[in-house]
Amino acid sequence: MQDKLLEVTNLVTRFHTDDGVVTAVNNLCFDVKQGESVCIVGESGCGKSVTSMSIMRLLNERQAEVSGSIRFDGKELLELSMEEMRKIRGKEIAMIFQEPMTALNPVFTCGYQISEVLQLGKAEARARAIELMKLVGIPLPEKRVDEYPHQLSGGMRQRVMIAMALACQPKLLIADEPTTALDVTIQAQIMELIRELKERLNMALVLITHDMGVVAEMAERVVVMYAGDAVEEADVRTLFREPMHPYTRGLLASIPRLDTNTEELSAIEGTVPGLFEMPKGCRFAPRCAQCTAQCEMEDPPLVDIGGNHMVRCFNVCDREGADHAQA
Amino acid sequence: MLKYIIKRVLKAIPMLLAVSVVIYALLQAMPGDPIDMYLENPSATPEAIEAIKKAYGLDQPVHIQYLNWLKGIVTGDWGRSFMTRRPVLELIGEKLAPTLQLSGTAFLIALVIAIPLGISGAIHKGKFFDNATSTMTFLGISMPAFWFGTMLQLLFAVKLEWLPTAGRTSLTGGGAGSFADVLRHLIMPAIVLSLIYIASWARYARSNFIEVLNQDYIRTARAKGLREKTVYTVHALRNALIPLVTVVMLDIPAIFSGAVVTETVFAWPGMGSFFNDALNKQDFPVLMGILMINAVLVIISNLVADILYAILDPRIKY
Repeated sequence: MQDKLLEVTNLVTRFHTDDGVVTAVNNLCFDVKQGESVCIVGESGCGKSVTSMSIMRLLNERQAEVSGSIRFDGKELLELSMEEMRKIRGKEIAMIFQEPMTALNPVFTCGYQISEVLQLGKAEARARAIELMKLVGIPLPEKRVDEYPHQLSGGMRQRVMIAMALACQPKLLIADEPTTALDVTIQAQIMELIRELKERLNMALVLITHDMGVVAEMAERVVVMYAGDAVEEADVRTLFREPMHPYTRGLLASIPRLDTNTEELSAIEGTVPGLFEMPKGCRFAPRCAQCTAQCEMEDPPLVDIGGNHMVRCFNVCDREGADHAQA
Repeated sequence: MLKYIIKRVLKAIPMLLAVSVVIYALLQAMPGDPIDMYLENPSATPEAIEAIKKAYGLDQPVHIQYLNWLKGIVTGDWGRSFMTRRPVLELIGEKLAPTLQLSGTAFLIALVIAIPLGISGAIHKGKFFDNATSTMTFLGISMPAFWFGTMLQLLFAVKLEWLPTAGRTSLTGGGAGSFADVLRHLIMPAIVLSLIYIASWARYARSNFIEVLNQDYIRTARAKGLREKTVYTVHALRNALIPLVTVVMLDIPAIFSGAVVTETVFAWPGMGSFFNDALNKQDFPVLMGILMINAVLVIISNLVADILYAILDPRIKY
């Protein structure tokens, strides 16, 4: 049994806005073991990015209220002082963001930004930056190290971001949609790079994405999020073979396939409910084909249906329960 | 970069020429005439007035007058004042130093106070400190200089007697004209002159800094585990300074020429009152001289702003 590196329990993130309090993440639980890669997948606005920002405690504490428990490497992150938390950021948990165009500071060289946190002497920092740029596959690192972000392509900038994240050899890398803003061909390269580096440096990886293709390639475990909740969690094979939650099934069905002769693209009807109009019972109920009266009234619990496969659905759990009763 | 600077300086020459034509024409278009006051003298005969006109060159057509003036400027002879008959260059030389002293001090005061004030306001956005400075900067922008100056005089010179009321040096006493004496005279007018720039630059710095703090790269800097101080002073400051440089540099000519009111309130012997006098008496050579210096200052400030811009922002290349 591998050790748990990150344990998120009952994470609730609320934002205080002018229009009232909204809950962006609602009772989220998941674990990441040492060296494991976990994908958090869901539609836009389901709380994936807020989850990662909550773990890093990068949300503005005057607007966002984070509660529950986030244990990392034996420490409770939510109880740390800002100074203690700062020492964990970058050094133990590093993060890569979605937009390499805007996530790099335009007025400093790539080399400076990569080696900044290392607090080395000038020549040493430069050498280390070149080394890291080599590691992430940037051609001509001796030249690139003195260039500014605007002189690099999107893919190269994301590589710079990755080099920056790896500078302190973190135990956990959180990648928040790292390829969404990139060309498709570059996306594959960056994903491959992240996977390779994760293996080589023995990091754990939390990858946030909305792309089921990426999930299939990168994940060991998958957490499917919907409207701030985890609706299903399983290892990647189980999830793709036996998706249980109607939302997960919908997500998988909506991947276009070339080997079937369907004319239409499959889609999940409706949209994610707005944060101010969350339904009372199961949050997926309004879009769910199997919705029952109970679904509209009560919020289903996340239940382990065996083999670390967790599902939040009355239909599935009742049926499984019935199966168990028969057996 | 050097090529760019040379190009800009060369481009400035036709610009100054155009500016001089426009102000010369505007001065000519002013109602009245420099020799009007002689007309009110009952003993001035038409012949005498003609003689004066001839002596000043005012009998010639306007374009000839302008060309004569231009020839003088290029060869270093800026003409003589109609009023005092002294060379314009010499007169301006006397008045320029006190004005540079006053506006330079005001500029530095404004810069040193405004930027830290604006940045702390941005960092403590919405808290007491921010609200207090916001209110104060609003007051600063709204307060007219002549009123603020008079109030300061009333409080510090008349009631408390800490500072001299006006002038640049004491007229009597042992330390009259010494550095400390001038400094004591400089305090109040410099504060009055800098007030509006403290206020407007602080507001501008604050809003810029707030905008920069919302950028993705600030989040990246925090995610890297940098100290908040480093995030502010390294990552945010440099980016926030870029637009600020333009505003500050372009305000320099305004500080310089805006000293008029302050100099009047504090009887500061600078260009302000000098310009006012020349304007009232339509002393063309003096007015042209002062206005051309202003034009040069505007062009230099623009150039310096663009150079600083390129130094601060690597995306700008000339």
